[in-house]
Amino acid sequence: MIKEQNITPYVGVGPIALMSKLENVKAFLKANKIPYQIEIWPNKGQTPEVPWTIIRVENCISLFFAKEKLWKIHAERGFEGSLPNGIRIGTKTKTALETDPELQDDDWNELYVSEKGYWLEDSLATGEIESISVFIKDVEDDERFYSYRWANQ
Amino acid sequence: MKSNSPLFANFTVSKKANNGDIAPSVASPVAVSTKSAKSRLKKPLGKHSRKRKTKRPIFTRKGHVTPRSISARREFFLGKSVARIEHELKTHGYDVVRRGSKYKNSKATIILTLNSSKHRNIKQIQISPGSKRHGNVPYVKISTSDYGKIKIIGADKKAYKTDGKEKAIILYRRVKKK
Repeated sequence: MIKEQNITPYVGVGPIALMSKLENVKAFLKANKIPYQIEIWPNKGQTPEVPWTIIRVENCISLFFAKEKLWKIHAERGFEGSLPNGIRIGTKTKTALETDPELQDDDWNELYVSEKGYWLEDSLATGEIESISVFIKDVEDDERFYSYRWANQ
Repeated sequence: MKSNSPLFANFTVSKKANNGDIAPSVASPVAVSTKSAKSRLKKPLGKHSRKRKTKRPIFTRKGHVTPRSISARREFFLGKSVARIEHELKTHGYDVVRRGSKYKNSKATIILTLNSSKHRNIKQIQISPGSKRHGNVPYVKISTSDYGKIKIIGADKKAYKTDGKEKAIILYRRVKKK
């Protein structure tokens, strides 16, 4: 059900909206009989030490929560939806770069960053887009994001 | 003076006892060679000779690193906990904060330095358990203000997938010679 949904920057994937509460997303997945696994990253020693909860729907999407709020959706192989500009998992990197000429190659983080609010990872073996991430606006500013003040909204 | 008796074949006369009797001492060929080797090691070092350091330091006293110093000790960064690497940075005058990577789907950690300078040239260290992109091989990346990026791969060249376009200086784990 989720895997055919479109993925929209700053918004979410189909009915799963960014900034949703963890309990609401879990309730939605259960209601729709979508199996998932939960990982907790304690983020020990980080400043500030805020654990992240990750809901993984196998071969589809991973949902990242901090302070119970959804801040990133990471779609991977198996996810069949697309971005508003048509880029999807399996699109050739070359085609993606032609579709969104503003994509920046972020050498340090090893992905393509779009000013339109998404990140793309490609496979060196296939030359195809391997994952798409969308996130809340606050992620774009390190200081704002790691302050976690956005989670209190 | 050596005793001709077969009973004393392994004895040599080394010194005279106080009463003038000859005192035998054990002096097998093996014992002689060990003793001489030890005495050679105990020889005082010459005026200009120094004890050779076994390991080249990664950091200078002021906290500066170079691709050469990292290359010589690349294994130091592999298999170490984030806390251990952080401790090493703090020892060399860096103020650091630790953050989870917001970009990655894996538990990559970033150590961010807050007081980088001309000498303290490390800006960031990224410790990654590996990504699909590079064949799930763990790596550590060091970003410096004067030498660019240095990437230490926790595997040999065969295991690490790359398109050859990476701007970082890439150092592979060395294979120990048997």
